[in-house]
Amino acid sequence: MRAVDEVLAALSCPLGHEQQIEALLAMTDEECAHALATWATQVFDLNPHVQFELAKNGEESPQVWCLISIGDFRGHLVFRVFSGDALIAVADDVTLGSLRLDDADVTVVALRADPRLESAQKAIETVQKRAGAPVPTFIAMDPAWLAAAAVGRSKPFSYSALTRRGRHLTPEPCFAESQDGRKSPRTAVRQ
Amino acid sequence: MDDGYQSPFESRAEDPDLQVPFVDELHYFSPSLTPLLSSAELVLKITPEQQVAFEVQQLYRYLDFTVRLETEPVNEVALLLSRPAFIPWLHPGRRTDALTIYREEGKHAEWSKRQIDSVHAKTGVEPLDVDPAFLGELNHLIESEPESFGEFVKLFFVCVSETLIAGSLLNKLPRDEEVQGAVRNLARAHAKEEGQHHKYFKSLFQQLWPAMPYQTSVRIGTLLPAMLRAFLLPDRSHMLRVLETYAPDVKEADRIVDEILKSEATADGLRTSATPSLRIFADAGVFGDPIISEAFLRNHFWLPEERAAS
Repeated sequence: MRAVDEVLAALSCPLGHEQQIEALLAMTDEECAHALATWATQVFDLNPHVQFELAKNGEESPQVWCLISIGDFRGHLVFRVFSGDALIAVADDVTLGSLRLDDADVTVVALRADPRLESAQKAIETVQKRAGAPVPTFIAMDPAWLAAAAVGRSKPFSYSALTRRGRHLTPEPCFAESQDGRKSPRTAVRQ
Repeated sequence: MDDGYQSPFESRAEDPDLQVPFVDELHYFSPSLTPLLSSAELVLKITPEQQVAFEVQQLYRYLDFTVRLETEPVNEVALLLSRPAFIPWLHPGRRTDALTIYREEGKHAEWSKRQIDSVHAKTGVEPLDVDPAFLGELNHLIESEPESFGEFVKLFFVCVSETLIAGSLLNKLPRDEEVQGAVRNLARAHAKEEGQHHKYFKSLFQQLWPAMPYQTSVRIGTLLPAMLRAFLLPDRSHMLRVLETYAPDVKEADRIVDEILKSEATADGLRTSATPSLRIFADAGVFGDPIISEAFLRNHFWLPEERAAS
């Protein structure tokens, strides 16, 4: 199984609602990246077949780098938050060269934009189309999905711990603010 | 081996009457619903006794399919749905209803197994030991998808199986007056309860589909045609085993079976039986995506009105 497919499955959660999208738009890209890092850590904790670790180097940026291992695969997963002009520029880049990062094995593009704006919606659809389906080349989190993750901290639809006996699974539809009471993990930056 | 076991269970008031005596003049299964009998070439080559064996084996296939479907994927999913940790935002009432489904599916499996036993006792025709093909298809689908998705794929597989019911043979069998009364009674009682399961899984599908991210919905959506085919396509391995056991003199059994599977009649039957599920998919907006609708067309599934319009 390709790593990008595993990541798509693990991150799939119900779309967020309008108020969550409003809250997403009120965040900065850096705050959104922090929230995504926390959420992703909690999501992969429910998927023990994936080893997930934030790669920290102490700087802040709308990029979150992680190390993931699934079976024989070991590589880098990067979450990249785009908003405003940067989002429009990515959508206009027909080759998507600006999305490619040499060290990234799996890229998740987080689109923080107001879908009620025509130009933003057009850019979202363009990036989504280029992300590929049903076999993705990268993952495009549209604002409703991103809001469910970064604001709603929604639990995924399905995860591999679901049927493992003896594992404590809670009935809440979303994760607590932080799984162990710590502050959000710091995100890592690649220049 | 008879070890003197006596069942402590008796028929309950709500059970269908499975004790209606079998009558020699009646069929054990509708010939028109027995795929092997749709081959004119084969019908010319077999004796009336072989035809009876084919019908009995088709009945066993249908009943064993029910036992395995209800006690394996459907009840595995019903049990999951009853647990608060699975899709936690579901209504609590839906969790309680999942246990009702669990109970009823167990009952349908029990009725089916009892009928296998009684037909076996009456006819002496041994049930063949062939796993239903749909179980292999389900395993293949789950193994082809990421591990995190395993239960989610199974959930949609069950949504498909439980919404197919309105167009399935459960509704056709009770109307065939040339079929044994006990067989028709079971199918009628089963269909009645499955009608409620259809409503349950229809509303679940309609709740889940629009909540999924685009790439997730395309991923799942392109699996749906394979799920429909897994349930509706006649079972190749079973048909070959029936021919091998009861008509070993028939030459080119593989070719005959493959012709049945590829026939326009089989394709029409698949589409007709799939219609209730296809309508649910259409109402939920599944076909709004060109990648998904192309996957359905590639598998020869379309709604009757779409065909008429094209």
